[in-house]
Amino acid sequence: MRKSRHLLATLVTTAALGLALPLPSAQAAGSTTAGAGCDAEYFKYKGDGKVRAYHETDCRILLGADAGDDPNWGDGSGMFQGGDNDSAFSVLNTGTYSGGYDVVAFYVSPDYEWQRGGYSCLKRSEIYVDDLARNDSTGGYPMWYNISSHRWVTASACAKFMS
Amino acid sequence: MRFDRRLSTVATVLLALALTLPGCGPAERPAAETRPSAPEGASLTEAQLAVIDRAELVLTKKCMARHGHPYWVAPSMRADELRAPGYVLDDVGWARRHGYGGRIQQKALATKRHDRNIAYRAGLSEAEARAYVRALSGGPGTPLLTMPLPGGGKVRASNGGCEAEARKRLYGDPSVWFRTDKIATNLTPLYVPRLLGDERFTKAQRLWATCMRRAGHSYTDPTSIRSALPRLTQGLDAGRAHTIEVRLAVAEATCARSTGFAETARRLEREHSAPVRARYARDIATRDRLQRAALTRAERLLGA
Repeated sequence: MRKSRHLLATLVTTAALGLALPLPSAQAAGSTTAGAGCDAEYFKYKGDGKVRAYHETDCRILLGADAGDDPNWGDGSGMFQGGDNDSAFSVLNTGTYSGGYDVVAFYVSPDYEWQRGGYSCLKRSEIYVDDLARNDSTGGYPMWYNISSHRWVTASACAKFMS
Repeated sequence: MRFDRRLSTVATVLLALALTLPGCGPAERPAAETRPSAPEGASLTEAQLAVIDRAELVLTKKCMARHGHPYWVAPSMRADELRAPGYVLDDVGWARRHGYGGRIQQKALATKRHDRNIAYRAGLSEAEARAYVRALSGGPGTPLLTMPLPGGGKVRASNGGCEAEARKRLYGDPSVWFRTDKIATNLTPLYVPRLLGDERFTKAQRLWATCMRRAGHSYTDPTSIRSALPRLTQGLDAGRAHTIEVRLAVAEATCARSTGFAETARRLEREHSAPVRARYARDIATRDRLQRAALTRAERLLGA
């Protein structure tokens, strides 16, 4: 695993900056032009019950798709295997409601071991992350090229969501 | 691994702490039975939120029928199954029944394997699938809602098709609901770091850890247990794995109660989040109002 050391106290710094940020724009609605590739993938696979991960930004070069959980993206079993480990740069959630288990938690370590590196979640309703470089885990580590396991959870099980 | 385990642990612990405060982020809400309506100012329970979810699915089903597509409403989980363990368990009874919820998650995944919507969609031709998705969420070209988050970053949501129509009927103006909900549920990065330096929290957690050690479980914090569980249960049959999960969960909850750790964590989170919540009070109030109105509509729709 790569698991590169992130900037010191990224989480703290980010949050501290957050404290100084102005109120978010009240004009929330609008179309987006970013993520055109992810848009296309979303409308192609919407409702198929799966999570997808891609090697490049904007949902390019598919690594794999999974309707279930995978505790280790680096082993030889599951829908993500071997070289998929630490290789995702964008992710897409086209799951179904599934009793509320429609949020994907992505972990920096295998076996959902969230104490080691942390995790970050993607809600079904928030569709995709076209560039994981924008996101850190709960442990303050980058999510890009750093995902080693995933599982489906409820929103209330997540302390951090991707953007 | 080359990352700083200490930083990771502390940050994870404190971000997860955000799970304990109702109405402030992805909160652990009491899994009380559904009440007929939510009183002003009160956060909705998980069961009440599930009622809204169910109404959204029913509305989606009706809309999809108009477009000529079948749509199945997934069975609801029981109220007791809708809880997340949160940062630290303090409900000994729940811990005794469910451990950390491992079996509940397995049940949800098993249900998903038999999801008729997924099976139906998988049986469609490419052209039929396009029409299905267009009916469900609007199809290519449908503008997405976008929203910058208080702590940085931006989220998006689909705003087309039957799913959007269902949300609109429940919550009203989609852009207002989306904006205020995203603010209300993404505030933790703004106050959690302040907890990092709070000695009252670390002291309470040390007391909990001492209690756990005396009970035969050496863990410095609750996240260490959750993190260790997959390894502790690897290769075991389901019954034995559940037994281990329950034993640890019961010990965690018992110590959280006897040492006052859970109560301290909740109190400190209320204290640290208060200034942030005050800053976004208007948005939070709007979101709560829309959510309560959605519950009323949902209950009426479902005849609850």
